[in-house]
Amino acid sequence: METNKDRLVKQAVMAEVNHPSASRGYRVDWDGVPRIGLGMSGVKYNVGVGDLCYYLENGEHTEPGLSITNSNPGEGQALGVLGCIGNHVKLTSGEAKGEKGYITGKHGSFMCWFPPEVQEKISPGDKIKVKAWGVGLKIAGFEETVRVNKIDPELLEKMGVEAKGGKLHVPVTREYPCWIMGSGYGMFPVTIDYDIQTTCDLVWDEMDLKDIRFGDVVCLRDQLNWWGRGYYKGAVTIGVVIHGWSYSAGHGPGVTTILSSKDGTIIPEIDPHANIAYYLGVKEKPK
Amino acid sequence: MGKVAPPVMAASGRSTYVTTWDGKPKIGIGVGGIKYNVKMGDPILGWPETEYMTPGVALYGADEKAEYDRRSASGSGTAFTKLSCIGNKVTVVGGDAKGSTGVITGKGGVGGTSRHVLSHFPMEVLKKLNIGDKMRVASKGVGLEVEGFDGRLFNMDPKFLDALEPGLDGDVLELPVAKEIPVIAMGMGVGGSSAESGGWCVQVSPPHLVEMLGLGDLRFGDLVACKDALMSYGKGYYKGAVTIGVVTTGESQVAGQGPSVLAIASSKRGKIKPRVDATANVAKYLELEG
Repeated sequence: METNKDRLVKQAVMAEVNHPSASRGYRVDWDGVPRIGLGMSGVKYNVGVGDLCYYLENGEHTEPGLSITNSNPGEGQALGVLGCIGNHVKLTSGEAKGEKGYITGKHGSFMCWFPPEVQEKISPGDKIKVKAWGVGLKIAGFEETVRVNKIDPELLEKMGVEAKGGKLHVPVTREYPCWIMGSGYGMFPVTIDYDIQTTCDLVWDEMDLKDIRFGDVVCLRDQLNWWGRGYYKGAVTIGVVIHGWSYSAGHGPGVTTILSSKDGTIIPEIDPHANIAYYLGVKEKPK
Repeated sequence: MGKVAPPVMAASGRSTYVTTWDGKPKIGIGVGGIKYNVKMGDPILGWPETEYMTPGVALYGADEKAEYDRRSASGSGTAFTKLSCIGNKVTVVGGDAKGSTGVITGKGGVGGTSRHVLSHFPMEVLKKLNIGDKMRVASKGVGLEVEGFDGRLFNMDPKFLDALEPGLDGDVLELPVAKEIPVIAMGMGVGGSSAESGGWCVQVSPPHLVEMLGLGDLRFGDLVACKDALMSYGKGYYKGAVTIGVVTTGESQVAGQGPSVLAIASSKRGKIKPRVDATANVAKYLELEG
């Protein structure tokens, strides 16, 4: 697989580690039960890319690793558009100044992975430099048929994607039908994810929703993420799971979409270990 | 208290255009203001350059301001939105049409939000109305229940519910609908908050979806049954659930977006029986005058 990565602008964008957020009162879940939801923003010591999304007590859109934003609206918008999954990040202040990690997803915040011993030294407020690279990425031979979005060119090369016979074969953990896709639907793929809904307890088991992991590469059927995000019969979208479960109606693990085609050019291949934690080399792949 | 809301553009921030599902720029007019020639009962599709058009007279809270990117109501505006119900009487309390009355017909805004409360007035009143005219809604309907029904009701004046001639068989409520819509057509708005604020969009792009599901003749004000869609406490997929709603705002050609459905009844266990009647429209049940 060849890409136009040599022609893509690579630039520095600034962010800072943010603070955990919490709502003032209870959030009402899909069935009318009040709940306290935990896990948005801040630094998580025991939740990382590659872990299961489900098991967290009171977990609500839990973001693995640490979360970063830029509170200046204009700069934050640029960060939102320019940052890509797999981009290199570096701490530029605080106890762990100079240490390096990766972006692992884009929710409201970007999520980052750092080595555990580095993460111990990171505090909310620490500054982070993102080496933003990936907007405009195209795959040779698929320029007109596959939309690439929000993925670092070097990470894409490590994802086992194979171009053969005019098709793009992509390893994924699972496939999901269009109707399970929830919050974020209709929005702009460049800046926001959308959720695999965990609202309906009747389908938790039949769709293996409790087995989803942060970082899983998944396939969404009949979904086109090109100029926007919506239904298109026969379209295939590939995305990366970036945040955790939710009990709010229409919400669930979020997916940042990275590849999309409307004409069957993308062929998903099931691989239970299709996860960016292994592709980035930040977690050991099970034998 | 509310007032007549000014027209606003559907494009957010400093963008001039919205981008359609197939990558074309669109101006995106039709949100807010007074429409002289678009009302409940009119066709949804076929109004050039429109996005989320609000039929009739769009209102919002008396303290609201038309700011960029303010898609949802706040403060007293939220109360105005949540308390207003379809069928409520609305009285003009300021301006040239002072003393005239109309009726609330729905709620809706860009992307399934609920910035605007929609109202209908006869043509002779429309001609006298101005942007900013104060309006008083005689709100009634929040908390409405049908004893025995296994589900929840929203956004309806009790008289409007009566006009629908609902049937109750055990715990199953029967309501009229113009169309049934499968969950694959449901788009933006999923994950949105309570049924009293905001709707869930029916996608009207790409064209093959419209053809596949027969959505081409959808009208403002149509009652529809959304299958496997639950809007009791937020909006999400639930196998076997049924939600009845009213199509309130106009088409969108942005991917995953479209006319907004405002819920009036929802049952997790599917205890709603849709009675299909092509004429099931708010305009009919409220007996709206041209």
